[in-house]
Amino acid sequence: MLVGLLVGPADLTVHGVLLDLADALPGVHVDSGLTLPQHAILWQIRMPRVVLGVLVGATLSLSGATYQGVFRNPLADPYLLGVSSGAGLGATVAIVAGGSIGPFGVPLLAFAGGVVGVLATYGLGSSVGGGRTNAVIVLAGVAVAAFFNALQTLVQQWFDDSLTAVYAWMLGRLSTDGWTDVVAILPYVVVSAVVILLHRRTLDLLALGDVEAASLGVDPARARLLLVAAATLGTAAVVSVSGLIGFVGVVVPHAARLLFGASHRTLLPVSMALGGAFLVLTDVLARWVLAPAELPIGVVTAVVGAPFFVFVLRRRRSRA
Amino acid sequence: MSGISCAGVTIRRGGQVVVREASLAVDHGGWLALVGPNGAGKSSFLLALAGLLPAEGALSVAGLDPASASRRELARAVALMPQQPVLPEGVSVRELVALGRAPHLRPLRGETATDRDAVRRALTRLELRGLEDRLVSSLSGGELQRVILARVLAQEPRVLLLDEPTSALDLGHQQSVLELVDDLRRCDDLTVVAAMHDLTLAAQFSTRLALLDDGVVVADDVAEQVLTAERVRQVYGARVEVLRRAGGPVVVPHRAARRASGVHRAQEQRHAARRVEVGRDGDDRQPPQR
Repeated sequence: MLVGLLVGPADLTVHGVLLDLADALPGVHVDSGLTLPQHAILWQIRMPRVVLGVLVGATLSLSGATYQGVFRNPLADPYLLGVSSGAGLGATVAIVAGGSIGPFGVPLLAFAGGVVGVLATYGLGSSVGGGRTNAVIVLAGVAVAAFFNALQTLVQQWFDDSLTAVYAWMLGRLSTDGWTDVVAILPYVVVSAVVILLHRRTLDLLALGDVEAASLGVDPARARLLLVAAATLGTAAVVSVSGLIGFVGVVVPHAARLLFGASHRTLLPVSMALGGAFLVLTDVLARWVLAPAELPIGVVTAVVGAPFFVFVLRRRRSRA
Repeated sequence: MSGISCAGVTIRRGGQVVVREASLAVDHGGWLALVGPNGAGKSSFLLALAGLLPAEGALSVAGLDPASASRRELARAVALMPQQPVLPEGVSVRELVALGRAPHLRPLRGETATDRDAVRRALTRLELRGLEDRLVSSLSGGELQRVILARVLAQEPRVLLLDEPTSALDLGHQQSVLELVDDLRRCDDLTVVAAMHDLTLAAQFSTRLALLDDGVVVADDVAEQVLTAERVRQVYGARVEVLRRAGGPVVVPHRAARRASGVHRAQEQRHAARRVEVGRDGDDRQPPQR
């Protein structure tokens, strides 16, 4: 987090930032030597961005770990059930419509689209498979994602002048409009994290398969619905402000598993911590590589994430 | 009353009747062996007892009705040892055994001293203390069976349901696992219901034996009464001899002596030819065994 606060186009001294942070602690009064504009940059631009990075990274990782547990599929990611394509369609519609639906149009429609996408997947999956099998729901996710993606491409082609804006959104970014985004997603993110963390033991039981989980006192269908709902809420909220930041939700939980084992009691908190740190660091990279221009953060996470993903796959195969 | 009783129980699976009008009872502390050919409905019956499959008719397991009791309530009284346990990756022996405590934990609280104690006792009793930190995916079949038994034990149930507990084990491990279950049954006053393939082992370990054929209970009594050569022939289509022994009836598959037929001679000749070929190539493989 500190690195995130220290790196940026405006020149702030390390020691000034540290002292200013210390000054903010209750009961501590020191003179940081930062000028008023520097103080403002620290607290109104860099700090919210770092906090946002932590929230987004932690939520994506937590949701990823949850989806992987619920669907007993190590390659599941937070976008598995159509959150991404739904949100993509919502955001595209909002961007195309321009300012006519207000300044919060993009996040609102992206959020709504994401939730609708997952509802469609779940509804379709349960109506076809009786809600019994994971595989049916995952396949339904593929169908819904394809459908929404097609709609999104259609809208995009009709209004090709919005291509750049849509594309930028898809690649993901952490914006710098002060605390608005943080405040907007905080309630959803907190609710989602609390629900999932309270059910960490349920996730361990679901890993045993439905029959064994049920014989140990869990209702698998209900538990799955609740966990997926919580993970979706968090993911949709995060996607609505940050766009589609890929790979975090797959890579981070795997790294956490390699480091601290697969028991969800440790896996979930570790994933959140690592995810937050990972995203802040990649955001620093994204800002620093082409400074003062910025790389889309989705590009950086994918560049770092894809090779790691292959590494995990190879490891799994060599162990099997 | 914490045994098991069921009257006129019918179980459907995917629209098909897999158990029809079954009436069975086991006293508290007894061992009921369910035997029968593949697909006779043994597993479905166990799942229904555990409340994992809906069943019509009157069913009482450890004083609970699986249809109306809550999942957690049932899991505290009834434990199921699955035929092929699912092994999550990266989970240690201790973690897997500790999952047996799940139905006893309060939703917002962690494990208490009682829970940790139950896990430790289960590990000690099944001689798993040395394996605690091993990953479950690295265990042998016999070790794994002990781990799952330890989890079931940590669950502290009154009724233990076993689905083919020894199908993956060699003869020595089969006996030791069944002896272990029998010890647990006697010490902890458990009621055991086990679906079993091996008729001899089923006869030796059970106090009562029910034979299922195509979803119907065709016999339900002590093993000596149920296992007759004639009945095994009818239900399994198998030729057997049943030897009366002190520890229970022993079912021995029987093979009629064959005359050397044309087919037989042809096979012998082929094998002889192969042996010659192997010799010529200087290949040191064993000749194929019959």
